[in-house]
Amino acid sequence: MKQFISFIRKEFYHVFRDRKTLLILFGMPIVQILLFGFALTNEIQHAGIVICDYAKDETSRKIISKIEASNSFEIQKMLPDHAEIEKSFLQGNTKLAIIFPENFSKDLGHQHKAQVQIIADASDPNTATTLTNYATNIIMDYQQELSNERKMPLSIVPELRMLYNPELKGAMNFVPGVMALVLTLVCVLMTAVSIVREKETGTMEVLLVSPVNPFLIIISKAVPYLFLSVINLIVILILSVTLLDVPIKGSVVLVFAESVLLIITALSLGLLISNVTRSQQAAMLVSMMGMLVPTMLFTGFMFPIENMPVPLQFISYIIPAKWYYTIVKSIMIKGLGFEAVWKETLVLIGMASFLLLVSFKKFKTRLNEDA
Amino acid sequence: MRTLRFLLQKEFKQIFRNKALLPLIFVAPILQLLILPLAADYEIRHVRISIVDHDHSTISQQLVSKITASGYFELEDYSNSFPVALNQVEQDRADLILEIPQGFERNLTPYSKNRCNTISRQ
Repeated sequence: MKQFISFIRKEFYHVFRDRKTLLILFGMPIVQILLFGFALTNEIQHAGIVICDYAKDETSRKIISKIEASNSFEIQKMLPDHAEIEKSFLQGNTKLAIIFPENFSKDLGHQHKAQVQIIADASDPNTATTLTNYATNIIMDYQQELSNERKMPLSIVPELRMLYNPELKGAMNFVPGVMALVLTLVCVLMTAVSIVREKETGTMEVLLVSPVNPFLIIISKAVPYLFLSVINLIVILILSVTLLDVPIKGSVVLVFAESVLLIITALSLGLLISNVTRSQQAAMLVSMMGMLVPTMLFTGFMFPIENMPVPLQFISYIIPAKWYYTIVKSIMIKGLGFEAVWKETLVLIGMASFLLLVSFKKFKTRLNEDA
Repeated sequence: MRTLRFLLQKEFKQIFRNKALLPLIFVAPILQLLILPLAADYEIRHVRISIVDHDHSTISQQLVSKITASGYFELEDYSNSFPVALNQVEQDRADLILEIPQGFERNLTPYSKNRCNTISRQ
């Protein structure tokens, strides 16, 4: 036991001496929380829009002033001719164009039907869809106002209620995602690199011949990162509660317990990577490619998993961060208890024990075996 | 100039000898190119809807069949209790609740407003 403690102390020295890495370790979650919380929103504001109004009558003007008043659009130019629309799209700043044909009001009054054309720059399909939806909504709103004057014979008014996140804050979604991302990344990458570094510098051999159980060496490698990750987790939680107003509705203890479970899973994955790679560079690349990209893609906080083709959905099932994300969202945002997340917890426990087992199996106590 | 050529030769040799790095350099971009367009799809389909119908009238049935036929929604459950539906949202089995109040059809006479609840999970 005394040996074990002195080994852990050695690992802590390693970590704390490397100031630059330490700075990145603690800086990364803070930067990510700030980035995701403030900079990255799906909401689009002040999108450039051009309008070509052939009608120039009351109705078209009213709709234009409504568009002008909305926060999402900024009218760049009123074009006299629709031929110029393409030019302004090519210049790149324009995202949407709206054309009112001649006799817009007249058609609306006489034929009870008028057309308006919306043209979007679909080189970015997501922005284009969102913006056309905004524009259509504004026009529909106006139509509703008109028909209120005339009164429809039957009307059904939907009453909307947004559960768990009534203000539709994006941070509610991002905070659990960032937690999953930071914890997996720090643990997988740092453990993998720290063990491979011993191999690279040749000090692994010294450790292995010392009178300590080799498994204890490995476990003591993981302990400092477990400790650092828990501190990271506390920082993230404090930041998101104070700065982003994301409440922790459920039990904090449960959030911590589940996080430690994810950390252990990630640490064992890091151990596995360190066992199969031999250079720090390779270990870094494998954990970046193998963890960062899949975690971003398949956790569900950036892209909805439901939309993906079935094979990709299956891939998402083997990503530990995906299960953790579901768990944290249920506890933090929905305020549910353990009974709602026990299945996901079991999956994580299964993954952790599987990874630990495999990496202990693959762990070589002799260095030249694979050389 | 010749020195540069030799230096370049050396670097290329070093890269091509590194068997661990090479596949990563070439396979990773290809994989990402193949997977990203499939994964980065914001269009929402297959929304799992749980409908709470307190009315059980012709009109409410028609509304339900319209919704299920629209292609956007998958009917997860059709019940007459809100707690059951809420529970499904909590267990992540449904994304949306549509609650049709009692007397929906009766109140839907000309010129009266009618309410139905749509509750969505965020």
